[in-house]
Amino acid sequence: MADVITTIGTTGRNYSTVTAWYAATYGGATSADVGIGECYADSDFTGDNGLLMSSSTPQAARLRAATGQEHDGTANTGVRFYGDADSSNYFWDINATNTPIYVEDMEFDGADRDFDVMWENDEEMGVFRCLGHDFTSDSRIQAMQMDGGSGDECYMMDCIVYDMQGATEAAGLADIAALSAPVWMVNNTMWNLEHTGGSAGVWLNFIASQTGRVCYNNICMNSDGANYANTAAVTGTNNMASDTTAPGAGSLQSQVAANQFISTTDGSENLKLKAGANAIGAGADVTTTYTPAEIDILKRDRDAEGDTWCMGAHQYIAVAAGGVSYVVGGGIFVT
Amino acid sequence: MAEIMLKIGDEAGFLDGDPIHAFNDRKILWTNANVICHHRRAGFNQHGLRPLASAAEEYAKLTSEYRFERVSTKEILRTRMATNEQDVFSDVPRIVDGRSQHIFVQEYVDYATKRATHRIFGLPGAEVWYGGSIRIDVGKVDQMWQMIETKTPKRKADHKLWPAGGLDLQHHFMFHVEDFDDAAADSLTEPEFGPVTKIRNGIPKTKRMAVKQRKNNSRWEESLGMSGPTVDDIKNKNKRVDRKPEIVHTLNKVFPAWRM
Repeated sequence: MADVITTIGTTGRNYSTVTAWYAATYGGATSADVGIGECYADSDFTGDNGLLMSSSTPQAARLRAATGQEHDGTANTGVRFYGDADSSNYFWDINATNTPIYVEDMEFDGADRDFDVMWENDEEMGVFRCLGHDFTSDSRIQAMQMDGGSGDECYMMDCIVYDMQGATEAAGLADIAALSAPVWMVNNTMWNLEHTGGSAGVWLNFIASQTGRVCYNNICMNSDGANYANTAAVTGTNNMASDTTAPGAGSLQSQVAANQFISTTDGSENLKLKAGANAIGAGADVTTTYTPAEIDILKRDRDAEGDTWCMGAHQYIAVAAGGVSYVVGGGIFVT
Repeated sequence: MAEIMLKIGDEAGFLDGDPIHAFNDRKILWTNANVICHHRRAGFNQHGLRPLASAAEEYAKLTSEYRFERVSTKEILRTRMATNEQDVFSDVPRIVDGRSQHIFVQEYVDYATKRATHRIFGLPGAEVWYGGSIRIDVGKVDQMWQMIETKTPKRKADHKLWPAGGLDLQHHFMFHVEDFDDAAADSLTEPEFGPVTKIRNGIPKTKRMAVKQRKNNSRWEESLGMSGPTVDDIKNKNKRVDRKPEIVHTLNKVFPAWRM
């Protein structure tokens, strides 16, 4: 198995859009390969409306931000998909129908337009360290949908999702397939979920009777339905809720967003942990079982650094105030 | 000058002649403006922040819902630029627009400026940034280019081609068409949807899902009337086929079955 790595961006890259990369079979990957698309933040990705990834050719596909092109956990700081269409089509229908697909370090900005992203179908799907926000749908909306045939495995880890509104259904995870394959929701941060019709929005909605559902170290707050639902058979601990539905031992209930996050100001959200947040050091170390949960949204390796795990996508480390230093143009710029 | 990116050969669920992309003038000019004005290319002032009144700041102003300005150690002023409506936020939560909002501004700025890719403009203690998404219409794109032509040597007339990648031009075929609006772009490239039935908890459930990558298809070998690259050149995936801006096709001829 070989990695076939091609670049995607609008400044002298191999492909200018993810759809163009996918349409060339993940950049020319054969059935023995892993097709890897490395995205660059040359400009916003506005051309991928209606992206539907479902080819069966490669062993697996990875779509990721190239090194140095990752977001910093806040909007418009790295590789960004930007909603730019009014069609009723799904926007970014990343569908692991026939090939396992992993999406890493990308931002998906629905721009308050009809939006759908990160679907799971018949193969393994992993969404790691992604940022998703401002999704508004005239029908259902979810960051991840467990919706497959017989072989589903669905992993969402160290992601931040906020400001989602669906008209008929709203969920961070819509777990609608009664299958025994794993669904791992680990170290995600989710805030502000609303619905305008149908059932109230639930961040993590599991199937009560189904085993194989894992829920560790998540922060789910401010949904207009329950933060977590149908968790009777869930394996997991150390979750946080703004209501009283966080499952497992070590969970923190009835928490307040202003005591956890740096900013919930609309347009300037930063859901990294603030100094003194209750979530700091309150997570469970699950490295050995649920990798790559140990890599936080800023790509800090909690395990290698010997950190006491926090809840949520962000591993809190105090940031020195005042002054910044960057390597700029080959020299070191310091203030 | 609008462009179509066409699939050559059957692959990845696409059929030969499927429109992978339909880029209209608005999208092409916007993307080129975005490349030129990207905050990562704006450089820094002596404080390590992005310079005010730069092309990057003007672009952010044109493409964002809000302007944020730090007005004290703990407060920011948020201006909704379309209406000039203003609100002050701090670490004390306020209910605005029906939701509780707060910001720890020093932590916000410290985290943001930790990376050299940040998008914080202005001066320490009076930092400025932009956020919130808006729709980018033709009028906005015109404003972008007026600004770019004022602030930089870049000219709109030189940025009317989609910034295609090298393999885009080898693996797919790009050609020019008369401009079209966003509804036409969406319609041209929409997948074909159909009812799909799956068994859920032992019960068959049917929902509308994409069943085919594209509803529309072009019999390009006949309809394009090649003058320039040959059909063999276009089918050769090891050969780059450059665009011919002087040849402008008509959408209805390329996609005769296409209807809005």
